[in-house]
Amino acid sequence: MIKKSIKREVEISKKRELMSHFSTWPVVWHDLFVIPLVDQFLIYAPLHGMAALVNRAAVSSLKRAILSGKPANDARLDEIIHVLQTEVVTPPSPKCGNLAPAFLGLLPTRGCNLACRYCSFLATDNDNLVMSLSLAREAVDWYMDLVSQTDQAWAEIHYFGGEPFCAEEVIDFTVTLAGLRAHAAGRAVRFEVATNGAMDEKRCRWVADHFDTVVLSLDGPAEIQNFYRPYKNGRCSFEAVSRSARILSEGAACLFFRSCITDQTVDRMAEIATWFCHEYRPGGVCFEPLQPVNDSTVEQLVPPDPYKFARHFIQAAEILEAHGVESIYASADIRTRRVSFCPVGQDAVIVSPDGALNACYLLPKDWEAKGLDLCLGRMTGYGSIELDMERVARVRSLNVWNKPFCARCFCKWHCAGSCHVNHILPDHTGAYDRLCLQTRIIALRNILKSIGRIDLISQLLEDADALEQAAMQTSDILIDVKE
Amino acid sequence: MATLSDDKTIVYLCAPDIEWVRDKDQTILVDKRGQSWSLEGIEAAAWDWLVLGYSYKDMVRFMRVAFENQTPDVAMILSHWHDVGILQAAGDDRVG
Repeated sequence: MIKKSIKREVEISKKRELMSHFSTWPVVWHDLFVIPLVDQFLIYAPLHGMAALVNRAAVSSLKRAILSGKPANDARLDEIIHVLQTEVVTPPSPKCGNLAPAFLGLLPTRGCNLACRYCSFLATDNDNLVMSLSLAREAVDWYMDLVSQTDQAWAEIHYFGGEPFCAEEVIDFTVTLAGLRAHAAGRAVRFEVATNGAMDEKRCRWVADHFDTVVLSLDGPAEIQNFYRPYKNGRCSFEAVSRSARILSEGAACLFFRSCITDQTVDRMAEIATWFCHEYRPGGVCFEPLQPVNDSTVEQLVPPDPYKFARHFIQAAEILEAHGVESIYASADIRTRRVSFCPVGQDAVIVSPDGALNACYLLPKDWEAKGLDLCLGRMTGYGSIELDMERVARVRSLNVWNKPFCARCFCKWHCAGSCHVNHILPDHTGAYDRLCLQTRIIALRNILKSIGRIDLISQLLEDADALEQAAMQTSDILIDVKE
Repeated sequence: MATLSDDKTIVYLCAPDIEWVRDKDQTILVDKRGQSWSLEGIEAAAWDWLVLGYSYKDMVRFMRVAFENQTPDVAMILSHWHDVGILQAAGDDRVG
């Protein structure tokens, strides 16, 4: 109990420290944004969860009122100012104190049965390395001990690859073991897996029964899936993966599709969304633009144009949502307020087959190439665990508070700069790259939808100049906007 | 599914009228006569691995890794299940 109080005090004082960086200017005004939308303006305060559509005169009045500290003499504008001034909101802050992993990640193997044309995991040095059961046990025991020392009601284990089911013994062992350990600790345990779904029927039924969430990589109908995601021996994977998708649609696990979009498939996103909804029963569909890697470049695969991607994503989202299916573009998810994207910001510990404890499931060579070190420590499988809290602190420092490029973007608390490895932030404010642009447009759509004005996004998409103006605005902070 | 006993292999099969369902903390088995069994903890773990088709040797290996010095007796668990009718021997003293 005493320990908990001390920890809480430390957390509070660290938050105060963070706030004090901004004490020369009230935090709230840095988090009040305005985005031009054709002939209107969207006022957006993400931390307050507030959005409003106003005209140009109102933007000027609001800005003057804020800078002068005097009322705007407009009841609706003064109401906005009142809400911003009186509603206390705490900006998201990085984790501090003891390690508190959002989940334990297990990488049973880097090996895979598919040879996707755009995959960055192909031809890795440790392709055939499979996690030993003793290492897997050590990881589960260590994590369950951590969970049992907290008031967390449940533990969470995520499996990544390669293809995790290429080392199915590790999964069979750890799912059962974690269930046993969780039961003994009086906790529940949730399982999530990212899989290519190229497995036999019996195995897939087991997955449907034992996993809470399955993220299934399926790019689209047969000709798309077979072209981009063949087996290593060149055979088509569609039949097996589609069968898995059907089994998982009927099972208890929540099914999410992950579809990689290239410049060749971007025009088909709406069709793919319709097809997903008619053929299967997913809980959500995540469309991800191709991330260029060496293999994809050799294959002459290129990412979609960001405006095209955003436009087609929005069309696809309408279709998905009409069927009750969630549309997912994680960096534009306005429901979340965070300082760091992905597992890296969540204290997640991901155990590699060789015993390395990393904050990220991507290949170390990929982060090393970007000058990052996301290694947190090492496990041996023989009772020796080295977790370096200095490294943990360094990884925690990779957050949007330390990304000045993001400071003036209205998406900063949702995107938080996106993937630390694959999204290298441009040097100067407002020099948005393709990932920024599509995030900004999709986030705008999500905000407008939340206030019942989805019609405005259609208008914006039809007006190329207005769309570019909104997407490319150098600073979205209200007080920066030129009148 | 198989269990080793000295130089013989007894092949156990799930009794044909057994159905089972896996809940969060237990596995419940029922037969056509309405008899039911609730497996928890180590027994539930053994059942999980058994129905996945792992051999007796594999199950013992898993248990050894999971419990180190306090390895449960898998043969005893299987034998008990045989005695209560959950499992049937595929053939008397069948050598595998």
